[in-house]
Amino acid sequence: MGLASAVGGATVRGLDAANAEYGGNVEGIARLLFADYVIAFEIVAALLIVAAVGALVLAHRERWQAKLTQRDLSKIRVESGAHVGPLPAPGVYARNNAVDTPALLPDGSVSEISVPEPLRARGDARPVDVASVRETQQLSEGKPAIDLPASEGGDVSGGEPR
Amino acid sequence: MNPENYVILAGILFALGSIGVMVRRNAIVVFMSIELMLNAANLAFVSFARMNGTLDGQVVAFFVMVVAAAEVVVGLAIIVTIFRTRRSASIDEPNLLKY
Repeated sequence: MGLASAVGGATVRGLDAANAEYGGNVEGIARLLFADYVIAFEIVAALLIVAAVGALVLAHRERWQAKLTQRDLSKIRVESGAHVGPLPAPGVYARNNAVDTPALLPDGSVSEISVPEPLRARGDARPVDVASVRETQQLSEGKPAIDLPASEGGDVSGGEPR
Repeated sequence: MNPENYVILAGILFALGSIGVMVRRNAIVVFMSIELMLNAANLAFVSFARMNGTLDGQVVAFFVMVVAAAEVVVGLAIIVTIFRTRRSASIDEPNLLKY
């Protein structure tokens, strides 16, 4: 009604007659494409070739230096002084089995980088009760438990990450 | 199966595509919006061909698809080149041809 009469004449004709002319939709399109529109078809073919070559030219990049190999990359990584090995795993103790618990280094101090970075950033790293750890160790060695200053090494935050 | 509805849908799709071209800043998204407009035009072509009772509209839709492919090929190559030098796919930044 409104739009159809405004743009394409009063009636919607449908494609049945046009399709029947050459025995089907595909045949009719083929007839148009390869007879009536053959010049446009050839021009479009040329356009596609030009577009492909143009894309090659535009996207091409000359390499000014050799591509970095895996060897070069590892060299750069080591020479940058960053920690290249795996990080120490978080601590697992008798009373604590969670990633927010930092591991203890061989000298008994707390390894800050053993706690995952997001937990450290949120301040969720659990402070280690170093005194109780030492007490347990001394008891296991048959020595009497000695009261140690609880503050020593028990603070996770502050100082160099180690 | 009223072809009028398809023309209305084509108009809606074309409006969405033109809004996308005008609003979005990312070149890739702008390209997608251009594709949306081209396909809206295709839909209109095919609907009008059905209204008109000829197959010419379908052939023209085919040509539009080919031209869209060529346009995307060249456009993406340009975007890649600009991104390599500018590290950005924003269409607001490359104003070096301005003056």
